[in-house]
Amino acid sequence: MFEKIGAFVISKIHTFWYGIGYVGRVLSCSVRFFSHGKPSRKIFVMQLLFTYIEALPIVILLGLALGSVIYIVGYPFLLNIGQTSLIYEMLVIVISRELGPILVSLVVTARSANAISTEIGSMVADHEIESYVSVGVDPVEHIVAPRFLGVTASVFLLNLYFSFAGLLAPSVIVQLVNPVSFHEYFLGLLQTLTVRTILVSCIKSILFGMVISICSTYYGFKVERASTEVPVVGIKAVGKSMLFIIIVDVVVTAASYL
Amino acid sequence: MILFKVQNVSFVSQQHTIVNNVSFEIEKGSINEFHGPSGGGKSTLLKLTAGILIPTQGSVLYNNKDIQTMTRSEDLHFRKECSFVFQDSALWANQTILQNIQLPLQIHFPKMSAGERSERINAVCAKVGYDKDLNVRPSDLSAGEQKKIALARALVSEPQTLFLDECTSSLDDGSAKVVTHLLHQYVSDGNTIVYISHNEKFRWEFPGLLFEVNNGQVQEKAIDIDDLR
Repeated sequence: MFEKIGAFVISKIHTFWYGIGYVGRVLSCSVRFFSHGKPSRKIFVMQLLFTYIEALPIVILLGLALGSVIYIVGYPFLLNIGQTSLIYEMLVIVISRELGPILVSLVVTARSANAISTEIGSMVADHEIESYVSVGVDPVEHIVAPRFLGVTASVFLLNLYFSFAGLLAPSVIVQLVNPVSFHEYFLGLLQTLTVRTILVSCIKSILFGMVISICSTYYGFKVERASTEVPVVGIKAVGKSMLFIIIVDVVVTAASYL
Repeated sequence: MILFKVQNVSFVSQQHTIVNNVSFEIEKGSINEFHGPSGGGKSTLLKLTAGILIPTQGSVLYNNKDIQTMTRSEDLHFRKECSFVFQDSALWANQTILQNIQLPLQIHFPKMSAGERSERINAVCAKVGYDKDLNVRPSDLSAGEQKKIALARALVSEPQTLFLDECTSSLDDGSAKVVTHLLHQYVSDGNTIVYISHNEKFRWEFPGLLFEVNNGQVQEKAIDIDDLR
């Protein structure tokens, strides 16, 4: 039994250090991408297309819906306790700082984490990765780095659009619930929106993008030989991405309130 | 001159020993065959020799340099000099045939002009006997055509060593003849080939040093032409 526990602990330590090494390699290859990434630029552009452009409508719709709901539900409640001025703070905190980055990253996880891990997994099973190695192409540099940069940039951009949509939608809804001029509404928002809030939102979205791309590519390479392993790594990539997003969110949120 | 020195190489995958403490040498300009029963570890040994797989134990030296400890530029040089044709072609499914052949050129000859590149691609396609559209995906081609493209991709950077894993399987007789002729020319130019083939005709065409691979062990002997007959 002790032997089994020992073997388990050793394998977990190995996995941990391998993971750390993988993250380091992805980061260094992503830096190199800007100077040596010409053959991989198309992959980067395609990743932006699939993760950013194609997810844009759903993210904007989500932002509009959430912004409207927060205003419709929140305003009467704040009116009852005589704190209507807090509606702007509520919108900014929920939409831009807390819910925006996490919702966007969950949409991206659902759409892209599975797609990336299964694509890479299939490439491993079909010996395409070995084929890259044989011609002198570093798989991390050619396959992972453009996806890492593409997904990270996508989550960052989608989060911006989500925030814009989420903060814009109530400006229309407000006319139905509590008619105030657009000027007054946006002035209230701008007075609440601080650089710190924007910074926290941006940091979260960038970190979440990094988490999604690293988890999905890492698990993609976990396929060893059979194509039956491919859907398994897809599920693992989505699950681990969500887990690490929540952990990173808790850490960044806690740090931002210190 | 010794080109490859395989020293006490073992390879373990999923707790199975596939290659077990193997040592041999490959000379420059020689013809070498890995032969043996299916599942004996030939393809794994070929990939280990070509530096595609990393040995669990031991080392593979190319020109007296350990492949594993090569710097990025040394590794690039090594990959330019040694190409590999996979048993299942292993073309990149999400790229066109043109992009498949072009990538090694972009990697090894980054300063080559687009015109020069296209000239070289057309020449290598003609050599392997592929005369169809280059802007299609590998899935649009037959297995035999994919094999030709895999060979074209391996030859486009003009390597000095070719590793061939069943390079004539799925080829019709005519195409196999074209490939055989091409490889004869390649060998007569002083280049090295290391191959695996179950095709007796092909083995007859390329007699050389035979490495009998069985249960992850290697036994070295000269090919007996009479045996092939």
